[in-house]
Amino acid sequence: MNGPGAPADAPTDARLDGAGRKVEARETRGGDFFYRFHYNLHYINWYWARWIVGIAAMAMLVAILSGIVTHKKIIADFFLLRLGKGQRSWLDAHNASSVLFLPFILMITYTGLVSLATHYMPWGIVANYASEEKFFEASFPWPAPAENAGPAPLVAVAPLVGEAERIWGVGAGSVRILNPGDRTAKIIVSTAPDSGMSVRPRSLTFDGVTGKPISAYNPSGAATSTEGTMIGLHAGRFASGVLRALYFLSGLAGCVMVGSGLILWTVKRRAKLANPDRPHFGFRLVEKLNIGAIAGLPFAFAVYFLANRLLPAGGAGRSDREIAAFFIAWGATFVWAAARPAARAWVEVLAAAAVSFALVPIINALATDRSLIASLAADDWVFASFDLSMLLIAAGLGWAASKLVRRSAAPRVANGKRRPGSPSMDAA
Amino acid sequence: MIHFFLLFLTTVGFGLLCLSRERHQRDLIGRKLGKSTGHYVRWSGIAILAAAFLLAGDRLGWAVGSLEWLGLSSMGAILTMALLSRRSTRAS
Repeated sequence: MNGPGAPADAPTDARLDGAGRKVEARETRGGDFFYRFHYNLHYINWYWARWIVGIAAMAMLVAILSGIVTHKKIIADFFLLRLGKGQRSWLDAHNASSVLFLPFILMITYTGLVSLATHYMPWGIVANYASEEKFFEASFPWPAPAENAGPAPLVAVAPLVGEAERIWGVGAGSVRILNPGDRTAKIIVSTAPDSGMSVRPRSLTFDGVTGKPISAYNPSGAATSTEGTMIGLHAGRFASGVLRALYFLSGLAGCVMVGSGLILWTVKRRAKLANPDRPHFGFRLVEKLNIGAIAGLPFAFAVYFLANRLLPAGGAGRSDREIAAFFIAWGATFVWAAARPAARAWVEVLAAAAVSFALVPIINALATDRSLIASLAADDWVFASFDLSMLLIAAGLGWAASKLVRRSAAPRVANGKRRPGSPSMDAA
Repeated sequence: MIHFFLLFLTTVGFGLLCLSRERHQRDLIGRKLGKSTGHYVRWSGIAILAAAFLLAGDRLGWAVGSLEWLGLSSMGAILTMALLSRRSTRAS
């Protein structure tokens, strides 16, 4: 893919489409940004970021386990959801989302910690390996090409992939060829990420001239398999469409758990305020941070998607500008929440998030040839379900916003505790 | 289709478990069940959930099957909860 003037062995990389043609994609981190962000954070050193994330995850695990012991009663009553009853409803929603989805929430918290276990507890590795390189060589072998020894034709690769798949009984995911066209050529075939629950791939190495198998790598010791399977459970790369949908819905339930818990904290304390018209600074701070964290974060997600589609395709640092758009949008919701009365800010940020999510499929339809209708007509469910999810999320956020508007318009007679200045978050 | 059938089973299973709780019986069926009927309902709920687990493991493999069973159990329970919440607001 290099120009004719480039040396033959210059490193190249290219994205090809299904027909083998080169594709010019806009420079973006795409969803990978969210993936990295969830354990490396951003704008700070990844080493300390992982410690921050680990401390938060451990706190969550402790909270879940101690919560199960303390609140045994709610497990028996987990079908209860009383709507339209203020604080009770928030408590019920909090209980339901956490108890009904407990298997998922426990699993994802625990396996998340396991994924970064060697970051938090590196001593086992330190005690057994002389250097970092030795550890990586043993755990993730990545053979380097040998000295060239003279030309020899490369054996056909496709039959070797077929042979590897026959031996494993699962699909191959990647092929690596060392010194192609040389007598020292080697072909390394590795299993696909969705070929099993463990994230540790198996590989077979073939001689690149004769096609004879040379060696097999199969990290299937008990400890490696356990670790690989736990990380696999966390990442879900093995999962089918149905299972992925269940992961997604369970994750949403986890968000409901966190969001309802945060709101419950303020709803509970508002009733006890000495002067509810002028809450003290700590209360106001939590209230405003809640707006940014619960309504602002989805808004920032939508802005990231919009930036991905609307920023011009060329130019250096494009992916950084997309990420900047995400953080600027998120930060702006905190500023907005601080500047506006809480009740108004809830409605406004939720509405802005709803509109932004609804805009994503519209922009897709206007700016690309992948409109929702075209995707549905082509039976392209990857694109269609993305657009549909955007619309669903927009509908959900819009529903929440309109519920709050109706709440604050309704006469405040329910329990006499609601005040004009307070957000009507008792709406369930 | 196996996925929908499993979701159906877990919803029925949790529905029966919910029905076996005395405080929910009036909301769900408008009357109280006897003690022995309650027991019977409860154990049929557990049996249906167990059957769903066996079916999931048999059809989808035990690794993926048990995961999917857990996920669909959560969905079945939340559907049951939604039904109960709907019926009890209508009654009150």
